[in-house]
Amino acid sequence: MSHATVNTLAGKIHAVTGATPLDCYQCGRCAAGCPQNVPGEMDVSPTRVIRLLQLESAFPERAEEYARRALTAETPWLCAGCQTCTTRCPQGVDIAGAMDVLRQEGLKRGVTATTRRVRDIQALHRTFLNGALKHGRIHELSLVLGYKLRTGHFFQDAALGPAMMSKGKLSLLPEKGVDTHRVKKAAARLKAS
Amino acid sequence: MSALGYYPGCSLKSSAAEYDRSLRAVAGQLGVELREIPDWVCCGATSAHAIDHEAALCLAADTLAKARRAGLTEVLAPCAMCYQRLATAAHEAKTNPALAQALEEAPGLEKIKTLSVLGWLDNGVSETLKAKVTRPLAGLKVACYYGCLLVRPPKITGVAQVENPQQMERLVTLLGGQPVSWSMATECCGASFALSRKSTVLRLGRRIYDAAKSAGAEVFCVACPMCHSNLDLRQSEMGVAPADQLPVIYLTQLAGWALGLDAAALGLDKHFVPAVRALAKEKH
Repeated sequence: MSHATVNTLAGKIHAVTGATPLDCYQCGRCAAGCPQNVPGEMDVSPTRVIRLLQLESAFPERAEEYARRALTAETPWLCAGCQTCTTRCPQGVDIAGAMDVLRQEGLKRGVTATTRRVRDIQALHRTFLNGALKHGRIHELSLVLGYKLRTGHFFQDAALGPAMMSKGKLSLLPEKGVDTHRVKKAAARLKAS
Repeated sequence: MSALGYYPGCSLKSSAAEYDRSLRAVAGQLGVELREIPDWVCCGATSAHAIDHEAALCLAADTLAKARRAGLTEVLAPCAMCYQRLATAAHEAKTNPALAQALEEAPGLEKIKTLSVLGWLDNGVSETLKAKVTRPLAGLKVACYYGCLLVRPPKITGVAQVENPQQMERLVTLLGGQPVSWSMATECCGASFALSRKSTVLRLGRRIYDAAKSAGAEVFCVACPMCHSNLDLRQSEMGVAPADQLPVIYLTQLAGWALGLDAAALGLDKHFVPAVRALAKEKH
C-alpha cells in the first residue's frame, strides 16, 4: 500500500502508534479475538474499521466518506482496550492504539457515533479525565456521582454503593488533592509540539 | 531493608483497599521497604488514553519524574492499569524527547522501571517468599486470572509467553496451591465498562466464571483491582447462585495467608464473595 499522508487518519495513527494500518492484509485475527466484536456490541468489526482507513488513503476522492464511516462507528467506543488485537496482529498494526486515535479525532472534529450507549461511555471518560486533571487523584464516589449526573442513570447499582461502603471500599470524602498545574501545562505543550 | 518505589494509585486508596493492605503486609514480611512516591498523580487510566493522548502521557510521566526526583529507580505499581500507563509513558519517553521536554524534565524518564506485582514477586523475591511460607495453601485449586494489562501488549510488559503466561501459576504453586488449567486466563473482564456499559462486564465475567468453575477452580487469583471488582462484586448479577460463587483473592492476599498473616491484616473480610472459608478449609 502507498504511504499515508499525515492528514489522513492512517497517517495520524502512524504518527502516534509507530505502525500504519496500511500494512493490514485483512486476515481478521483482530476481529476473531475481540471480546466486543459480538452481536449487540460493535457495529463494525475491527478488521473492517482498519479497511475503511485503507480506503480513505487509497481513494482521495472519497476520503471524507470513508473517514466519516470510521469515526462514526460505535466500534472505537465499545473497544475495551484489552490489547488482544494489537498483540496478535501479524503485521504489527496497533489496532487498539488506532481506536484511541479514532476516538480522539472523532471528538476533535465533532464526528462520533451518537447512540445512547456511546454517549454514556463518553460521559464516563470525560468525568474521569476531568477529575484526574482537576484533583490529581480519582475519588471513586465522586466519579460515580459525576457520571450519574452526566447521564441521568441515577439508580444504576444503587444498592452497590452502601454495600461497598459498609466494607470500607468506598470513602465518603476525597483525600487532599494533588497539584496538577504542571501536568496540564505539559499536555498543552505536547499538543502544540 | 531494600527500598522500592511504591505507586498505589487511586483504587488502592478505596475500592481495592485490601490489595494495598495485603501488599504492604507481604512486603513487610519479605523485608522490602515500600516508599510511596511523593505527590503521585492519577495515571489517567482507560479514560485519559481513550480521549486525550497527551494528557494521558503527561499524567503518567509526571509520576515517573517524581519517582526520579525522590531517588527511586524502580516503582511497584500493583494496579494493572497503573502499571500499564507508567510503563507506556516510559516506553514513549525512550523514543519521544518531547514528552520530558513538555514537563521541563531532563531526558531519561524511561530509566525508571515499573514493576507489576507479578514481575516483582516472580523475579525479585520469589526465593525469600518460598523460604517464608509457613501455612501452605494445601492444594487449593486456583484459577490464575491475569486479565489484559499485566500481559499485553508484550512490547510494554515484556511478558514472553503472552498467550500462556506462567508467572502467577509459578507463584501459586510456590505458595502450595494448585493452579488449574483453563482457557480464560488472559481474557478481558470489561474493566472500566463496569460503570458505563455494565452488560458487557456481566457477559464477559460470566464467561470467565464458567470457564474457571468447569476447570474445577475453588478460587480466582487476581492482581488487578478492576478484575477483582468486576468478578467479586457481580457474581450474583451474573446469575451465579451464592453456593456456587468463587472467591476472588488478590495474589498478595494468597501470599500473605501462606506467610501466616491473619485474615484481617490482609483485608480478606472486605470481599463480597466470602474468601476466608475457602482458605481455612481443612484439606484431606
